[in-house]
Amino acid sequence: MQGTSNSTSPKLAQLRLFQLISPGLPIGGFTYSQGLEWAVEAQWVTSQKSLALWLGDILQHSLATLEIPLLMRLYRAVELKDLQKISELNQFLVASRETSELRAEESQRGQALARLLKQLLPELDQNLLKVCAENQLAGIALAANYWHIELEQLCLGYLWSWLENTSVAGVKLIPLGQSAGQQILMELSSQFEAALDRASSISDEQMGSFTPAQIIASCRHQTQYTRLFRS
Amino acid sequence: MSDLAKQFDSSSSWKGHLQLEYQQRGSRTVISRRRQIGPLNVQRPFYPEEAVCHTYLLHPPGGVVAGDSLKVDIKSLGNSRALVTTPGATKFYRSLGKTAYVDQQLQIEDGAMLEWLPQENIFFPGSQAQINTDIHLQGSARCIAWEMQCFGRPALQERFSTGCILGRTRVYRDNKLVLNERLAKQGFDQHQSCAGMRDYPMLATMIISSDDTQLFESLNESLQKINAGISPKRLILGITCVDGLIVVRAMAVYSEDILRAYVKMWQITREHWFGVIPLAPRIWAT
Repeated sequence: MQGTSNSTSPKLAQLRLFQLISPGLPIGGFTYSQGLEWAVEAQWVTSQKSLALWLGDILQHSLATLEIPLLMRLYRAVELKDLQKISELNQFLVASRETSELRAEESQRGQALARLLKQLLPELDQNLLKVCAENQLAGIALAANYWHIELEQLCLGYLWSWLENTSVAGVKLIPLGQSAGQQILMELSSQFEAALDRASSISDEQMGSFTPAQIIASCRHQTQYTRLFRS
Repeated sequence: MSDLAKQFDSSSSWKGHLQLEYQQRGSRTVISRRRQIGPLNVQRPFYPEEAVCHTYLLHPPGGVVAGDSLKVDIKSLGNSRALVTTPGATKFYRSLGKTAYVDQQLQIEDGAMLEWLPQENIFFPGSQAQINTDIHLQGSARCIAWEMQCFGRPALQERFSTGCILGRTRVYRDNKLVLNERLAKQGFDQHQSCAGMRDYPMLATMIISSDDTQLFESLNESLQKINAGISPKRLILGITCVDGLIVVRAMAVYSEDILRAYVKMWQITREHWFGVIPLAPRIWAT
């Protein structure tokens, strides 16, 4: 079957979402800390409390103002098979990633996801797949369209995978116990609904992130002496 | 007008628009076109380093109040080389509701160089502003641009506890967007304490239009030295190279520390480009 859709029941769509955001897949972000590794070394993040603050700042000023608004726009562009629009949004995402490590992460994860989708769904429109290989958000938007995953579910799923990946990175780096990690998941995920509302109201003009300490941490990570993570 | 009087005088807002065009004439760069509406102005250009046209941007009202709308358009043509700075900090006074708008458009043609190096913006507690800057680079255009933002008045222990400063800086290379930076500083924001601005009152970005590895290494080496010589609680710097741009970001307590670091980066870049270390404009010495 050509194109971006097939006949998926709502229940199956939900299972596909679980698969799409599963850390077991190669697209999982376990090798990326997005500046957190340096922030731990600099003692900006040293405890359960400061890890929750770090994540909360990024949720409010990056996920809610850049990634989720872009995911929403990419999802609609994929639905319309608007290749031109997808390219434009891809370029906007790259330009909004402020450091070379964050840009590399987008592209590496995008390519990994596209390789996987090519194997799982050989019937996907190849032109669409090619333009959606540039970053992870576009690939996710493509897969979600194909599997009829609803946009709101998709956004929540994306937020969850971001939270799980970065919390696990934090738990490993600080280090914290498993229950502290679980408490962070509880605390942060309860802010998701508000973050989604905020994301829906962001205009094109306002899209972008404002997490200056994370960005400086990401710059400094590049030359950090010992590194476990790729960002 | 005194600072205090300015704070409450939002009835008389300024609409200012300044257009400048630089062009190479003989061995010098001149302002080949100047159009000015409202209070924004430039001093007669001067030539402390011969080839580069130094220009001071003036804003005689002494500060920006709610409702002001200021627009600067600069075009660098051909092989022109210009440096634009300001004789002092730009103050944004407290607003009783209205927003001040600043719009800066820099266009640099293939072969030209423009340095946009204003002194810092100081946002008084309660100020509201929207600041947009677009930089358009064509072909081999050279650009060094920095913006330094000071929130509150740290010297007076005045924090930016209320107010709202929004902005974005976008850089285009041959019409393609290569950098989009957002500024969203709100006085009551609970989500800036850890991954945001933390406790630093100052935030700055410097953009250099180059992806030369050797230049990046020299800048990085100098930056590491600066970082090592000062407490990170006072000044912290980070450098990266993205799509043909080197970007140096800073957070700090004092503007002097950022300026000192940025002047060093500016000198290293100029030396790399033209083989001469330039003297810093005297007006930057405080």
